[in-house]
Amino acid sequence: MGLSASRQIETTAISGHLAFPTTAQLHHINLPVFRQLSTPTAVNMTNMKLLSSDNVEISVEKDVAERSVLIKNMLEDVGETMDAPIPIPNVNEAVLRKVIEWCEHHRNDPPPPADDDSDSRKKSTDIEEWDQKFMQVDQEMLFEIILAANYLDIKPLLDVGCKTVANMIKGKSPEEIRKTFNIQNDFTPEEEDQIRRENEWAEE
Amino acid sequence: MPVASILTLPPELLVEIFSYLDIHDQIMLSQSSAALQAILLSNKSLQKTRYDVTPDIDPEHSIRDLECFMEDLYFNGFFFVKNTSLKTHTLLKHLPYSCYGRLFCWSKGGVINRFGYCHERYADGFTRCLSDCYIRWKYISDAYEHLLEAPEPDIDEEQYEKYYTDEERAAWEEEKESWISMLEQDYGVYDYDEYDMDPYAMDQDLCIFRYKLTDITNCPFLDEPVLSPYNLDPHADTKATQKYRERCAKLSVIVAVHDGSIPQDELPDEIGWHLRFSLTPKTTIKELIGRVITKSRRQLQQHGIDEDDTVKYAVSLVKANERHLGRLHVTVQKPSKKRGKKRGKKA
Repeated sequence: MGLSASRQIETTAISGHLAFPTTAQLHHINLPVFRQLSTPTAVNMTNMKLLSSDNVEISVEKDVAERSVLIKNMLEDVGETMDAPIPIPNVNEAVLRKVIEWCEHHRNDPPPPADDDSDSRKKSTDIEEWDQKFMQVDQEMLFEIILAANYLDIKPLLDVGCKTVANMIKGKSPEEIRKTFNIQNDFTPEEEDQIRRENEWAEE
Repeated sequence: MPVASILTLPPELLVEIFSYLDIHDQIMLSQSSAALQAILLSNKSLQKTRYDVTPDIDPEHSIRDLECFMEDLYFNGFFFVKNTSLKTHTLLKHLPYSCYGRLFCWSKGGVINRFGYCHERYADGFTRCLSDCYIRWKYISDAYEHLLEAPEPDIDEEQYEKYYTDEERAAWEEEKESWISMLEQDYGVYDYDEYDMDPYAMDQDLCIFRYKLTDITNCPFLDEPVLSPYNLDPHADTKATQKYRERCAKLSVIVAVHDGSIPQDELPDEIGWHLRFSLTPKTTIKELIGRVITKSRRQLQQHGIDEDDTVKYAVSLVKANERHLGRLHVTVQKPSKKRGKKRGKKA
């Protein structure tokens, strides 16, 4: 049901990423599930479904899903729990399952501070042991998790992902960084000359 | 294992990631890719992770122009302190009224890897960081040469209390007064508040250890706007450039290494230690430091100290040999024009 219906949801491309449907959009979508929102008896209060970009429904407990500020806000705006799958248009099944796995493990974590932009957060790249193991995935998956965390607004997961990548950069030479992250050396010959000149300046 | 380019991440997420890196890693990263370098250099929030500058710093006041340099080089000297906010870094700061007065350098593991300017009105904040610092200095006969004696840099406040006796402090006060009197005679009335900072000023000796060539020369952040030198066109025939030309002077540098306690009468033979070059209106601090560093490195190598050796090793070598390898000693040939600028008035 949700599979075909979800395709009717209009999404907007922002910066190359599909945006989550707004609450207003959800209200105006002519889907049975949203019409059912006014009939609480049909709603499962503890579980909900998420629909990945590759059209796979994943059942998840509400409090787990609400680790995502995006989903939490959306549910609050709608005012009821939905039993129809919520489309997550730019997160595929594999990534979504990983994100849910993380959310399940951290379901009882206290919410992060509202404005967690302190220097202390920036300086520490310590990662919990469980999170370290969780992030032992290939780079493609790692970046996808970061993108998904950013999209779903799961700040603690985003932090863990960013710290993981930062730790992969630390202590590496430029060449090692290029190899690690598949970066092309895109300096122009002039720029490379400039770097050489700067070295010569000190070597005179 | 699939490898995806980090560049697939949007810039705002890259910035978030890079904010976890210290400046050394940011430098390495910036050298890996022009695209990443552009992100690193263009983002204001990342700049804050590299420099301890205040958010509302005014680049106009962050100058390192030659006029300022020439005015104050006589009193050039480093602060050497522990930066309490950045545990891994040591803060090196010059005298507040020197050309480097607002330039702060951090060293990490014996490597200077941070440069930053601070507006002078925030200098007091940095001064407070100096509370665990120490200094004894002596005024030497020449007004343009002063010796800063320095014990171990990591001494804390409690040790400081133990280290100096009341007699020593009194002696130091007397020395300070004589120095102030001399300066006032030459340059007019000074603000005593500035001199109150002097006790913390030290140490041109150890700082030379902490320059490490590669970490400075490859530092793209030296070119950031806040650090850009204020250069006038020397060929332009303006009043300002004429003024600058008049203030060109010769800089003499003796580069050396010792353990920070060299007595006044044991200054090394200057032969072979001098580095002379002209300062012009276009001379940048980068060039100046580069010359000093180059000279110092050569001298160190002549004494069996490689640039990858640690400060600890260098000092231990000096002590083991019971000799001083010399000292960094910077003097300026006095320009022909009298420069008796008043710096402030007594409160």
